[in-house]
Amino acid sequence: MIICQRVKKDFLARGTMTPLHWEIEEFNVAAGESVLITGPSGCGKTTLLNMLSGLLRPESGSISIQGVKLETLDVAGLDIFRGGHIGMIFQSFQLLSALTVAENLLLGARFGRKWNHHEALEHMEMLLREVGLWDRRSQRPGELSIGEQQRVAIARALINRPALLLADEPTASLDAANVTSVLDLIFKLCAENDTTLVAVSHDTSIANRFSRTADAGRWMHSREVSHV
Amino acid sequence: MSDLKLAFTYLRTHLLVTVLTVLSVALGLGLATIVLILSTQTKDTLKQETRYWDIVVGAKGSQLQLILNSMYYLDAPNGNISTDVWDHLRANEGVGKIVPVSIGDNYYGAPIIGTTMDFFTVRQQGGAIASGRMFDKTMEVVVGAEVAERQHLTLGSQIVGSHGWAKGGDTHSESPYTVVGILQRTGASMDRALYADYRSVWEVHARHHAAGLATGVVDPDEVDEPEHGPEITALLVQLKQEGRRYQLADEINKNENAMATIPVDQVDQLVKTFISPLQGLLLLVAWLVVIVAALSILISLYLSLHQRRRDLAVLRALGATRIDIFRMIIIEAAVLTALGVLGGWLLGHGTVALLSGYAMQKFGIAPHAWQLQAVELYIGGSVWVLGILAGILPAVVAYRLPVAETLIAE
Repeated sequence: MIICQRVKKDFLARGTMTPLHWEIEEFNVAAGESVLITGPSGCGKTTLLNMLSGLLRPESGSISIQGVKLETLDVAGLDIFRGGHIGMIFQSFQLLSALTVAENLLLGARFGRKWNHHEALEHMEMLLREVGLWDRRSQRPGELSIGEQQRVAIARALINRPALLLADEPTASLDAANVTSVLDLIFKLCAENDTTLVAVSHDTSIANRFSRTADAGRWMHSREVSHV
Repeated sequence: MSDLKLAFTYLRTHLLVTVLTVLSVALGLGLATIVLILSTQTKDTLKQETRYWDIVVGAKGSQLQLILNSMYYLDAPNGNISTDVWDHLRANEGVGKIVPVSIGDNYYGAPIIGTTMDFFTVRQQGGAIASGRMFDKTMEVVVGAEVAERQHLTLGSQIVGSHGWAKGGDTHSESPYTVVGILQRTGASMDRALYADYRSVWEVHARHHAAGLATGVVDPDEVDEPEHGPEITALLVQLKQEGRRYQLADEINKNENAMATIPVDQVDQLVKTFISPLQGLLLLVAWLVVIVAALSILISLYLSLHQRRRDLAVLRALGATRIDIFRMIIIEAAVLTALGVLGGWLLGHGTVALLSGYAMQKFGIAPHAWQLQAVELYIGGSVWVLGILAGILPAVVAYRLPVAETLIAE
């Protein structure tokens, strides 16, 4: 599913703005796996997810998703590939506040470019029923609780039945009760859709839910970066 | 979730800015629309009248004033001419129809025109009676549609004219007219006049003088009797061959104690020297307003982009390409401008509709307020394209948005 080889990336650590350098000799994820990448805040976990989704390009090396080498795609090709094959759950949900819950999902479906309008409506209804928010479909994200917003974000990420789901700190904003239910939901939907899961989190207490974990710290090196 | 729906959704999120931007476009286009409708239809109406008459003959003075008075009832007469001129021209073989115009009285500001039935024969358009019949003896009057409506005149109404061009003169209470017909609406000067046999005008004034003399109100020494019998204000002449206009006009100017002028030349001159430059100036102002409006579209979209950077980055993360984002912003500009264009047309045509009553009363021109002109489509289209062009800069900014950095930062 994911093959990263000799990937190098320079970036600034969030918050401290420390120049950091990543070198991943090899990192592979098999189809159907669920992998949790752990590491302290600011170590570049989100940067890794952005590279896996094609939003950021590494300085060198190769990232292959489902046999497609991302470095061979141009910007538009990456966008289209991402829309069709990769679902993303963001740390702060990133729901569009001007749109309703249903519209947020339909927008995700639109850029997945997999379904026609009727199919998109069917998937939207099915997913919202699954996450228990069908009755809230006409409300805007601002009218929902944090836990409900997270469920909408999960539904949106999975509306195109992606092969790969990338989740950035999926439980960071949740209380203990919601952590379990949200993880249950993510794993259930991934299983139903044969979706491979890669999540990053600084919370190691959830590691036992994943098939394996990887420590981002081993890829990280602190050094001066001439230009970023 | 179509681009159009998305555009409306985002325009709704900053509704006040959207409404103000739409209004600014509408104002510019509305102004242009008003100028276009009024100037074009004024020109058309003025020129339409010149189709009927080749030469107008009247008292010596301003040629334009003669035309404006005798054909459009917009200005005071230069004076009167002797009926001898009429007799001479009637005998001229080149003359097809010749119609006297006697304007001496008014009814609440609407001129009472003394003429003959030939006036209606020549003016086939708008010469028709809507109700009643044409006058066939003196002291009968047919009434233009606007006058009938404004003064609530019906068949059989008795009306009394006031002396002079403007309302407020002595009333001719001893000589009431009877309304025998109401003319169809024409949208031209005929609508705001009353028409009677030319001899009625003479009769009214003869009775007025007689009554004045009898009661001593009029001093016999001050009675301004014409030297050569009754007079008329002007003659409208239709030639058998319009190519003889200039020749006959020259002959009249040389041989008669009157002035002949060619209406089509006077109207062309009026249009060239006054109406078209004014139209150009007002259109320039309108275009400046439209350009300012286009800038406001640019500013509005640009500012809204800064509030939506996160949303745009999310769209890219969901799979939207840079072209998708560019297109969305352009569609938003297109929707914004289209609303402005629509608003401008409504504003322009609505304003003309509101002004049409005034325009008819004051200038004898009834603009067809809701008639769309081809040039409006051209201008509306140009404004739309301008608005879309104004959206390009914000669209390029959105196109170049760094997605990962924006998602991390916001």
